[in-house]
Amino acid sequence: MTNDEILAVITGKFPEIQAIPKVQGQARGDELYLSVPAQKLPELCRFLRFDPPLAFDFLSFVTSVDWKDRYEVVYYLVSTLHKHKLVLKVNLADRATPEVPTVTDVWAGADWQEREIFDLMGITFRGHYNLRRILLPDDWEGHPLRKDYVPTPDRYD
Amino acid sequence: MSQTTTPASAADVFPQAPPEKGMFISLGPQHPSTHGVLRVAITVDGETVTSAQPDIGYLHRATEKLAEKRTYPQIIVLTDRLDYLAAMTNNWSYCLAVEKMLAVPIPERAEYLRIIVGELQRIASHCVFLGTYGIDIGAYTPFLVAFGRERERILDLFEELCGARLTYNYIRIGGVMADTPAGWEKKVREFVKEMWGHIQEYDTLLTYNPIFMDRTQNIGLMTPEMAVAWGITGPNLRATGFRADVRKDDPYSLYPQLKFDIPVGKQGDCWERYQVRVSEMRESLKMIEQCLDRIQPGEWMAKLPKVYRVPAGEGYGHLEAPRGDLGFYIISDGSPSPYRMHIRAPSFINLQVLQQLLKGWKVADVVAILGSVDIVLGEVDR
Amino acid sequence: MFELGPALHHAFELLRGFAVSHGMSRDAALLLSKIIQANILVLGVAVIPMVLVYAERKVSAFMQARLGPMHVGPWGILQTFADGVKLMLKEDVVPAGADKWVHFLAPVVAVAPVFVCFAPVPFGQGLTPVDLDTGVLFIFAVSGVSTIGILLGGWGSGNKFSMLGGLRAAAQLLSYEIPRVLSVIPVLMWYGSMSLGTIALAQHGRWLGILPKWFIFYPVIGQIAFLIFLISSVAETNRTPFDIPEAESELVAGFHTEFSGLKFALFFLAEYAYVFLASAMGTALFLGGGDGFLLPNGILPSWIWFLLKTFALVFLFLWFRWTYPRLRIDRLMQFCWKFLMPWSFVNIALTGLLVLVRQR
Repeated sequence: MTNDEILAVITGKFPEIQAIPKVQGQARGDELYLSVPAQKLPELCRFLRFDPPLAFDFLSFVTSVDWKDRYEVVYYLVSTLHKHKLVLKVNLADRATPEVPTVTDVWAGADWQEREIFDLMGITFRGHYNLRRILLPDDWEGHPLRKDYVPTPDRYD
Repeated sequence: MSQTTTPASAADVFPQAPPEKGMFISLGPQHPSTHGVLRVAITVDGETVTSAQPDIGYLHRATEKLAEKRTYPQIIVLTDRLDYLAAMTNNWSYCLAVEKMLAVPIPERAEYLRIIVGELQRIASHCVFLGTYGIDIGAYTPFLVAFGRERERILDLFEELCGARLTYNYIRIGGVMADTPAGWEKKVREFVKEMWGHIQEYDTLLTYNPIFMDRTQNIGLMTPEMAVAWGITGPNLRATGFRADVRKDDPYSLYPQLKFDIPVGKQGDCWERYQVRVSEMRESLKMIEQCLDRIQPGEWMAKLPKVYRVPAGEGYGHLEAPRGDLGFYIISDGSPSPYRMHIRAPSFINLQVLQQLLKGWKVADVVAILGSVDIVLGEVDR
Repeated sequence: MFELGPALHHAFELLRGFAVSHGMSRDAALLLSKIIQANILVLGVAVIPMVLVYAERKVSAFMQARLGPMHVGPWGILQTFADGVKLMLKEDVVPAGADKWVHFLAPVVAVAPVFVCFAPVPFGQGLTPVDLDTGVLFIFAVSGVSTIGILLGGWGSGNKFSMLGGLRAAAQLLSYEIPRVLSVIPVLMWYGSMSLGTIALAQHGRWLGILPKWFIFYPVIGQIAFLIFLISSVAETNRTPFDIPEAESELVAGFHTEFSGLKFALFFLAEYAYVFLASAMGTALFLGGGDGFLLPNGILPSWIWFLLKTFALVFLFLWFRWTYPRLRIDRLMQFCWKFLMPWSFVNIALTGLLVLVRQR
């Protein structure tokens, strides 16, 4: 399916979801980019995963970006059957307590990736069964990938 | 392709919290079979594993954070340290992502050189797997043969090419670091010719050894549905019978022009995960031969200005690394260093399946299953 | 040719005569000569593992496209000696959680029986230290004590992996003891003796002047018995493919994980001494002891033949270790109880029939 067809299928079910248009002069891949409100995410993911014409069965990666005024969680989806791709972006305007629903019940592979984001970016995944720090020690303070993170000075600083 | 993953109920693959009862065994972080500093917390009921929780982070070096403070060419050095058994493909994957954003055409010779070193790297990496997996199962000789003889030859070739044996920094944005030294291609051709015989030797020494097959066949079964749900890629996914390879599905470089097969397994047991890798070595040899036949003298680096700016925006480049789908997701704000870089590390994502994969097997199988997933902790922890 | 046995007898007789002529009583002289003999044996048993370790390193190196030890002495001959010195000088670490006495006793119990076990082995013509009438039974009985040492080592270390290794070892060694003993019974039935020396001597001779009359060449029964003996001996000595008790990749080093220095060296010594003992038993029981072949009689003395054959068997042990992966514990037990045991009983029955036929 082409990007437009995918978009048509999705907006047919979720009219409030919009594609992110490509900005002239900016680098971007050919994938379809969607902006998804956090509360719609579980429902949409279920639809994307189990709807036969879409069948986004493979969650390639989950990551997050700190845009200083907001956080963004990025999901990169691939359909192993149709070979089409999709990028979901969830904006989290609440900087104090960023929270997004988990997708581990749709793609089990999100498990550790969400834990990593929780660990390094400090975004909570609501409903994750085992949301603990994964790479850093349990008593680590702060979330290093945040832009306002102040690293502990060492003897080289 | 006509295959699909049936919409399995998510509850099948959703990991449950570990049970409380049973004996607790902490495998690692210092243990001969964890291939680095990995700890697997296992609870056993008698001989049966009731829960397994890999514990990682012992080798975390904050590569993603470091990348935000480095310029684009400097980051290639960091990528060497991720999967240190396959640094070439790491360089390549990162460069793919940056080149996508720069939209720079790569000279043909550079593409062929990249494929040659990339496939040599795959063979070298699989040699390490083969050797260490032999040790996991208790056979020492394959290790010294595959690791100490054939991989060493490949490292010699790389050393001649770029001066380094492990962290190459050879593939650069826009091409490769340098052209081949005189006679290098001939040496590669000689090596490829010999390697065909060596792979035959591995088959007689390990692959079809009855004890080895007894230890690994029908152990650690993985279905395609389970593998896709967990995001497994690479030989581990192909062993389940699922024909998925970035080189075919989302082709990059000159792979569409090469003839090669994707070896797949049938049921996804440990032996097939091993066997798929051995077959992949053969396919890599085929590809190297084809590239050596076609490669022509010419430019090996694209015309890039000395100082270039990556346009604002984002790019995702991924390729088929020896351990699976390795991707770099880069967000640029137009400054000399990336605003954010995310690494889709196949080892990291493949490793989490152990939570489900180890469950229900015997303690003696833990090492066989763990080894067959083939992880590199440098990539898991990044 | 130089037969060591008679020469040694002569030397000891001279020694005794010398002692008696200098006022020692006859009994005391006899005791003294026995003590000297025992010391020679103990020394020999202690040196053999060093030779074997060196052989293992070299054999494995050549199988693995490398050279092995090359620096200490010519071709690294003194490497094992240097390692022995190193092990003796190393600190003896006892883990905090260990049972001190058990931890201390384990290597001693494991190694002590080895020295005794070599007493009834016929190293050549007139070279049997103590020619026991029940030599075979004696060796099996005494070597079984070492299992306790391994179990103690696993138990006393206070380490889960060690304990698993120790328990596995106990299960494995006890199980494989049975087919091992059963595989030897056909030999005992055929020759009607339990003395290793008598059995080895009975195998001297030729069929049709060519084929040696060794037990391994007896049709069917000889080969089955030898194979079962060989396999279960490999298992008894904890060597790959049956090295489950010390499975490095699973149990770190199994029962000897927590041992260092001299204690570790003792376990090591016991393992290699048992490899040699098993090979020596195989030679005496199945390969005609000191009987020569191919070469005309008398070119090589019997003790050289015995050593040659023993080292050929030792080489088999090394060869297995460096080519085979490790079995899984449950498959190992299955193999013992469901395959080796029935076949050893079948072999005993077959031998019984043949003995009957021979008596007719």
